[in-house]
Amino acid sequence: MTPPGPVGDRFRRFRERLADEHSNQPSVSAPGGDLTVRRDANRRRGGRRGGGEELRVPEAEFTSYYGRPVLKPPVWKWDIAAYLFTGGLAAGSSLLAAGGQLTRRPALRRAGRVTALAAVSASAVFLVRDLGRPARFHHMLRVAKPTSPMSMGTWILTAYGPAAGVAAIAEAAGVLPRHGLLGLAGRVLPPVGHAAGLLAAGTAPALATYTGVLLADTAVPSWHEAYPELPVIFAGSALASGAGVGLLAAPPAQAGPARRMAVAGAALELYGAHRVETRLGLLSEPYQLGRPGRLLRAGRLLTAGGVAGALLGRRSRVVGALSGTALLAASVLTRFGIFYGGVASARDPRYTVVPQRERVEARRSGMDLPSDRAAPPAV
Amino acid sequence: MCYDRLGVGMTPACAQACPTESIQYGPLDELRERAAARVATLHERGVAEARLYGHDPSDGVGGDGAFFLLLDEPEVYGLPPDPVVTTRDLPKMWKRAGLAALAMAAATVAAFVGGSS
Repeated sequence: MTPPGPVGDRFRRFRERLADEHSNQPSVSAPGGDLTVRRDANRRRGGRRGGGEELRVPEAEFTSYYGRPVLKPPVWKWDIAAYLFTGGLAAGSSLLAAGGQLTRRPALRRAGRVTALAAVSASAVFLVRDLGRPARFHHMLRVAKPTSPMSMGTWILTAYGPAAGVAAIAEAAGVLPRHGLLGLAGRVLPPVGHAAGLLAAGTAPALATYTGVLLADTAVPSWHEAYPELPVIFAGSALASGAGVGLLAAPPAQAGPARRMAVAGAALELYGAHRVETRLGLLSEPYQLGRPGRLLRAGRLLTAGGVAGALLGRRSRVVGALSGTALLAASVLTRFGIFYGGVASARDPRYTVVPQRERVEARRSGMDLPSDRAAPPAV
Repeated sequence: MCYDRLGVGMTPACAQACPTESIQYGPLDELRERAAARVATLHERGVAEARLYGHDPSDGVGGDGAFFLLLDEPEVYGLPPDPVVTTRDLPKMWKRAGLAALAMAAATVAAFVGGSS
């Protein structure tokens, strides 16, 4: 950033420059060459799109107030990126556990339930840590507001968390003694766990996908414009991480559904990430460059490797466990990549200004065309 | 400051203290009229870049409570050129999330029902 100089001085220079421009020729260049940032990517795109059509306005050079960001970057720290992973992991695990309990695959059920409880507990810690006044987290339960994804998420978690907790505690039934009070608990717990597991699985898809709305319903350009894809990526990532738990914990004979879940999850995740990295034009750039780009590329490689391992090594426990680990790691990397890609797009004013400017130009040229055909003058 | 002063029929302190009367306060319609007249005057004088920002209630954010007369593109002042309120697409976002959730549930069912192993 330019250090703020004496105000009067700066204004005088600005006025002189204006006077110069008026006396010489009406040049198009924005005031202050040092404030102007060249936009190479736009040029590239403009060239590709141009196709011989004459542009009404010369490709705007991008400016902002002393190169400062137009937006404030998100206040969320890394714990929200971590929550994106743990929330998705909890959701995926609960779905795996419910499938395991309905199709009598105890290894999948047990691993899914225990992971879900651990992950949802970690989620709660991450979320409460992020609040301005962590001790007042229960105030989130005073309102229910459909226009606030954070409020909706609080309620989804409130429904999901206890169900996942009860389902996991019910797993203790196996180690309780047969007689006495604890024996009674041992007989009551499995059906209670069954119901709780189904309830948790019922709310799990909402838990995994609302976070896409949570990110998209902000002014952060690369999140907001990616709103059709973010829930898809997060749903896929959650499925893949849940499947990873299944591959890690279950013997190959029981892990068939986890393998198929891994394929479905990876397909959704890779499709969504590909769309986000290619469809958004300039706003795809933050997902390709720098650290977010590296995270997303590594995530993609690990997802592909994990799925390949799960399919090819279906007889080997070791290969299955490695594939599961790869899928879990891929989910972490993807979440952090999406998170930091958005943060990068908020930090650089280019991503705020240029797409909006293009929108304005498109609207203006769209309005000009009919008026050329002698339509009544608008406003 | 503002609230107390407005309650006793005064203008906000910033508007009253502004030496160049750049900050103006009043009913929005009246301010819009005054601003449009000012822009017309500036255009007559050859300041073609003069424009209003945030005055239009039909823009992406429903018009700003305080609008500006700018002498350059909004971004030069650190303002977004075409802001959109983030909740405009919220129904579509929830719909996409709902679809993704359904896909997730369907994929799980298919994973457990389909296949033999």
